[in-house]
Amino acid sequence: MRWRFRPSTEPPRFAQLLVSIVTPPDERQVLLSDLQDEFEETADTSGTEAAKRAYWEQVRGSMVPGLAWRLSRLGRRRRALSWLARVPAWWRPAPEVPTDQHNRGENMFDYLNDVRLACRGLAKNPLIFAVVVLSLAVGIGASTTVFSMANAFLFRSPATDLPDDYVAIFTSDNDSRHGDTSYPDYLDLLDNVAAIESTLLHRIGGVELDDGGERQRLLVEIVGGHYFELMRLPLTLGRGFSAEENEIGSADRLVVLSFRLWQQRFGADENILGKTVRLDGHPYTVIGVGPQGYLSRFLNLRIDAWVPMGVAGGIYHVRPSGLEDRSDRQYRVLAQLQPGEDLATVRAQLEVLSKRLHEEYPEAWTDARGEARGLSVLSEQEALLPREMRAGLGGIFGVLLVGTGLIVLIACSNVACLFLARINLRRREMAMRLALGAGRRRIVLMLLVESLVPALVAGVLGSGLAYWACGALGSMDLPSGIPIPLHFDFQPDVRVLGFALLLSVLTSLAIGLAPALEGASPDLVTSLKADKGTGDRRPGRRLRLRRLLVVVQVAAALIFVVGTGFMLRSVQAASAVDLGIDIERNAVMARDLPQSRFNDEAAARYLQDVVERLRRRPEVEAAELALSAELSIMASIYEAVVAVDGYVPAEGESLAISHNAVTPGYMDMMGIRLLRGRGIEDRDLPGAPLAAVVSQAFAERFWPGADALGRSFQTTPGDRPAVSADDRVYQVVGIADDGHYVTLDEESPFFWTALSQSWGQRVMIHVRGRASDVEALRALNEETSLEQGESMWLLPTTYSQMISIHSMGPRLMSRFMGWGGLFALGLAAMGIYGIVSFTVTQRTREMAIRQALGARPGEVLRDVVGDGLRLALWGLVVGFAVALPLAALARNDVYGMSLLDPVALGGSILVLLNSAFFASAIPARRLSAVDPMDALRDE
Amino acid sequence: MAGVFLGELELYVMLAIAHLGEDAYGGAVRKEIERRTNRRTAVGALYATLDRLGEKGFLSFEVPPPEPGQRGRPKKYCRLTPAGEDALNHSTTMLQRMMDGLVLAGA
Repeated sequence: MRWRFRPSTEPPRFAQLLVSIVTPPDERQVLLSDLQDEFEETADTSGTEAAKRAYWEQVRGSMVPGLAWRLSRLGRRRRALSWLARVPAWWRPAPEVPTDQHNRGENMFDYLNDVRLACRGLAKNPLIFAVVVLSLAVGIGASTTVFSMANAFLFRSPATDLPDDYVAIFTSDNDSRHGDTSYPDYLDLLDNVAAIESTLLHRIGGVELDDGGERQRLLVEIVGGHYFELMRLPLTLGRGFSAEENEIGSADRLVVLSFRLWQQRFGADENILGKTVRLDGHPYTVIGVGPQGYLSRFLNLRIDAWVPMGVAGGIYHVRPSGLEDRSDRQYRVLAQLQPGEDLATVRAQLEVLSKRLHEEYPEAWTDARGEARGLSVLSEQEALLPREMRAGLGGIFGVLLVGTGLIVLIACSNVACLFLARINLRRREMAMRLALGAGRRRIVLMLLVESLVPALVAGVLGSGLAYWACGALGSMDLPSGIPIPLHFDFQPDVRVLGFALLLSVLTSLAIGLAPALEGASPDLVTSLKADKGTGDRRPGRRLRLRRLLVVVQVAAALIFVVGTGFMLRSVQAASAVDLGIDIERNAVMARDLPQSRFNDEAAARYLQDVVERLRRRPEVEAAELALSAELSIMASIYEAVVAVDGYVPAEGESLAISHNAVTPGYMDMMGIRLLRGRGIEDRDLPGAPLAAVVSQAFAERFWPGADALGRSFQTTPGDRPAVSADDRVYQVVGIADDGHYVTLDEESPFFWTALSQSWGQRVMIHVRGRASDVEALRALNEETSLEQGESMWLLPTTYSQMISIHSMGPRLMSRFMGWGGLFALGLAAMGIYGIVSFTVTQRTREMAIRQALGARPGEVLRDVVGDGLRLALWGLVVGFAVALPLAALARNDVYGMSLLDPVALGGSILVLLNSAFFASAIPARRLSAVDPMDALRDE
Repeated sequence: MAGVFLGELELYVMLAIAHLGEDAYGGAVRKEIERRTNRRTAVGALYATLDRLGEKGFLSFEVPPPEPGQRGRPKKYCRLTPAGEDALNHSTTMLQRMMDGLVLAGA
């Protein structure tokens, strides 16, 4: 028999499957083979049919015990893990609500479950999730950035701790209470103030590092006295210079590199000590490497290197001549108290000394208002940030924090709206949970977890944003072309991260609390009865909160938009004003020729040569030399105290007047209008009578009602660098028109003298291009190169860029407000959109009936859009109520800003109403596209 | 030991295993119970009980590699552990004591 028909001897497949399902996987094989054995035996004795019946009987009998078995197995595994999930006692809710069944079994799994649920729910709406997280992240990021800046300036303690008995000594006058001190005065301090022991003096400067590679501007600390002994820097390598090595005029050229520079520029070379680097063309020997992460105690600046102030020929602005000049005040002085002495003793001794100095050196010790200067002392800790400076910075950061806080608030209210809407859609779910026995507390917690998840994600994202922004802000170069690379360290620390975390949690409460409370108290019966998820029968009550939030958003957006408008208008007004100088095609650079290589004559010849070369270029219209530049920072730096015979200054009147020393073609090139007399000419040479051109305001102030031409005035050097160190008598040879020579705000008195009659080491080269300032800048860059030992006061820059620092505040502010406004506007529009679109869903049926009864689509549309616009109008009213007083406050600070600027105001209203219109029109259009019959049938 | 009592099926299963000795595997246990009590046991219930008894520490199991050939399917052999024997003794003794001097109607 090769082949025999056998009816299926296999047990029924389906029965096998059923048994498999209820059996634990590891026992399945044995169990099935057991059944198979029995099946075959039965089939052999009683036939296949009987065997199948028996098999089915087995399966039926096994289902319930098998299932129970499997479940008990699962439970066993769960029990083994349950100690992991046990909630710590402090976290467990107090068992005072025994009726709340759920609480008793509450463990970490439930919260993890909530988190998982929240993630799943949010992942289902990736768009909403993205909008929520991004808008919150922007707010948190902006706030955290501002906070970390405030933190860096106001709260962070310096990296190195100094003993309590360190004091800082200042020269004070009417202009600055904590001003710098001159070197001769410092020497007198050493001899006359017995209560102090060791002292140091230092200042910040900029030098150029040139070691064959790329040239690099370094921010250096130029130090003298017992700097390294007193500051106790934990140097990484080598040592600092001692007071003996830093003898004025004969110090060796030594340098201590910062840890950062050593790492970045010198590849952390262990054998760097003893090698030389070139600073401003001179070789300096490296004797040490500073501590890692060092920030200067002044404003947390990142210092690149330390150099001695005593080197022959000086360094940066530390010049041998300046070291003998009591008016050359540029050093910060630090001292250690003698044991047992206190601040009061020092203060008393300083008072005696300053009185004596005023008697001995009345010129240097009298300020521009004719009052005596003084010496003041603060503890080193307090001197890091004197009280008035702290208050000023605190104010600025306060305003910024309020602004960014407003952004967070808008984002929160927007997200809260979204969540409220979501809760409304989930009312049935909530009702179901309540009906199934979940406590309200449980539901509130679950919903709060749902808002915590996006808030924390946003917090992480926002912190990342802040980290990036702080890095970018800290290493941003100042815009005016000043050759000192001031880099701040705003990097977030623990305090900043704590702030971000706190903000995220607060944010999650702000966005989650209202929806959570709302969700936990749904009207059980109505919600369950409603045949649709959206079935809320009382939309009015539920919507009130959301409408309120939208009004807040619009108001906040308006504040930003109004602010931006005002700022932009003020920037515009600033650029529209007639400055009195024509600088559109000008570029400048400032040079500081080393006296060791250039005597006055050589310097003049050298510079004249540069000017000639510039003039020969076809794209250059004119090239001139001047000491300073109108409207630049230098213009306010060069001041001289003016005295005119017969003029009696009023009490406290400042006689310090800004001025410039120029070559003959300069005033012409700058477009300064000469009203009468002559300008500076070639005949104004050394030896000839000193000539001056004065501005109209100058003339009217000192010779009111009289002709100023031919009169003379006397200058003495003020507390700022002047044309010359000695007293001079000038003859007025011409009168020029008034202009904004010093500040953008007002026309100030000014005078010009001949550069050839008051030659100095510092000179600015001015170039005017035929077509543009960019051309002029290129010419400057190509025709000038640094000579050995020469430093640049000001890197080549266009004139408008140089003076842009005047409007930097309003411009940065307007940019900040602009972005904030755009953000707020977008969110407010989204809020309105959400509300209107919700109303549309709610009212579809009503509208359908109205349309069926003959209402035109337009009327229905108007109704809905009108609702959106009404919200916007309320927002406008509230916004103006807040914005106008704020604008009135800000008016003093912003140039050219008028309170009721029609363009700014009208523009803001227009922009907001337009956005509101579109935000409500888009969802409303859906309504008119609905077929009434469909809508009615749908219900 | 005082706290340990065996359920009816558990008791049957353990007694069957005790009877079978070396040959106690799933199918044999079921047949033994059926032969003696005329009661058909569902495999699901049997194996769940075996598992539970194993969990209590009364039984140990062994699944030797299947014998070659068509009938050679995996079998799960059971053996009483010392604890299992104690428990069985205890249970049956208690049962015996409860029944001492008792004459049940219909027996």
